[in-house]
Amino acid sequence: MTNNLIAFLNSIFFHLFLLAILTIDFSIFVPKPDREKIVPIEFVSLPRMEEIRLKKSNDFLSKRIDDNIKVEKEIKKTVEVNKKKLGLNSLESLRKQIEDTKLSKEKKEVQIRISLIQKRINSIWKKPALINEDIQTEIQINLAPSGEILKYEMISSSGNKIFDDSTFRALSNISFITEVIGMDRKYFEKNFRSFNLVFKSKD
Amino acid sequence: MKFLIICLIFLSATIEAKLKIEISQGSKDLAKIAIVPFNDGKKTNTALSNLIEKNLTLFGEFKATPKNEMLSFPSSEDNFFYRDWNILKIDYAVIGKIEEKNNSELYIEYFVFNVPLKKLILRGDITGDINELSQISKVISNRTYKAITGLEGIFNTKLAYILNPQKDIYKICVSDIDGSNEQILFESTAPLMSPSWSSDYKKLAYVSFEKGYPEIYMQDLFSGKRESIKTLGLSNSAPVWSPDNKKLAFVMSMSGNPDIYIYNLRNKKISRHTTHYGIDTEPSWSPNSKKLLFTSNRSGSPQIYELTISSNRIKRITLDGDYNARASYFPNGKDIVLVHGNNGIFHIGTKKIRSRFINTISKTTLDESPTISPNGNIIIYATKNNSQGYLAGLTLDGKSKFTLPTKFGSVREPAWSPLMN
Repeated sequence: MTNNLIAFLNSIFFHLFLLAILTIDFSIFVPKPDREKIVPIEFVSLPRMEEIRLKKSNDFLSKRIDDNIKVEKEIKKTVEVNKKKLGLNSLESLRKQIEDTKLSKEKKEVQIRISLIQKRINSIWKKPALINEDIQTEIQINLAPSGEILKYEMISSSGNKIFDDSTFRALSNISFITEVIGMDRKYFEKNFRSFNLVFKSKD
Repeated sequence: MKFLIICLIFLSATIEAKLKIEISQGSKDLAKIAIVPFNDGKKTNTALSNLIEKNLTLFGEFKATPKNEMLSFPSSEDNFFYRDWNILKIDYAVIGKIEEKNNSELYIEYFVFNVPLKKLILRGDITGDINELSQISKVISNRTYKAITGLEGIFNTKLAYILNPQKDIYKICVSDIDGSNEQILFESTAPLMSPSWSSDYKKLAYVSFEKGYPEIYMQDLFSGKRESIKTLGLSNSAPVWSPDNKKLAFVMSMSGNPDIYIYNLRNKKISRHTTHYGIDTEPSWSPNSKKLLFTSNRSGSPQIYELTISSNRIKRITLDGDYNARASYFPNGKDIVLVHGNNGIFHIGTKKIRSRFINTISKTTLDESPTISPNGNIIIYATKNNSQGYLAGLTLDGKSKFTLPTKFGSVREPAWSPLMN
């Protein structure tokens, strides 16, 4: 019973304490304003909402463009630095340069010899009269650096004996392929020491 | 990075394939052939070797070596020395000997050598009468030609053609392929056209206007007997014998519109195979007798069409040029020869059936009626010089062009006979 009474009294004191806190006027600690002083107010026209949005988006875009230009400049700068490092102008020219290096000496020389050999063999090969047959005979030729034909053998027949014979007849007329004389020994060994002649019935 | 690139270059170089050089044009020079005078036991006999030489060089496919340049006249394999012929750069040599058996009968043994390869490529013999030297030479020439080229020899084939010696005189003639031994099969004051050989070599079909309208006749070459095809149409033309000798394709106009018909020679029935309102003409059989090429203006200009006989399915073959006509198949059935015209200039052309491209092969400009040799290697066609018609020819490899001996009068529509077995 006494416990209940104590709890009741505590509750009354707690609520009265809360009420006192809420009602106290703290303004007694703050100096009171001068009520006589007039404060002028200026009316300024505010921008419309659309204009605000547009401005914001323009600002955003120009910022993005500026950023992109910056990135681009940076890329270009990096590429230029890399190019300078490699001593090249572009990827294409890199490829071209590689090809040119290859072509410059060996390929050019080999190409010249090939066209000379083609001209020579064409001039001695009496192609048989064949109609509408698209066939070819492949003959492997082994050469000495002097151009002497050491050996030739058919590695793939056309299936037509007359055609095969005509190619052998052409080769039997020559003992030397003089067109390879005087070329760089390395190029000779790589290309002409052993090569194949492909005789075709049609162009 | 640089190191990597160098490594790549090195690798690509090492894995490169073996060098291959393509040769496809070949020389424009003709193969050199030496026909050595045959030995008949007493002296060298030039009569037979001269005939063989004339045959083999007829179409300009070989260059003959003059006899006075030959270092020796061998007559058997034992006394043939390759060295003697290699020096002269001879490609092929033909030698032989003649033995007289009884009276006029001759036994001839002959050999053909591939000189650069040092190889005997043909050994043959033949028996015949001394008066048949020309025929014997043709047999030897055919066999030699086949041994050298792999193609059938055509020296004993014949040519049929229309001869127009003067105004209102027309003759159907048959001669040897060199123009000799001309025989007149039929002569008329009315126009004659379109000779065509039967594949058994016994008959010739042609068109005659002797009754005032075009009518197809089949004439027996040995008896001379003529027979016309009875049809309902009033205008019949362009007969062509099928290679299996069972049918005759021709053009008939029932109501003024020419269409392609086939006459069955066994049951004598006629079947119609085109029905278009355009003009369909100039049929030509495929080697297997299952298809026909014909010329039609159904697309607005003359073009070549192919007809499958069993289904009557028609397919256009030529697309280029404003005039393509008179087509016929090569013996392989895959290529055709035709007259190809553009802006009033007409050339002989060849074409693969499956490709679009037409290859013009003649240089003259008013060419017509090409006929293909039975071995498919030579084309003879009619052409004109100052309104005078004559026959010209060429080999398909383009190495040789020739004209056949000029006749007295205009020559038209050559038709090459089939191979004589």
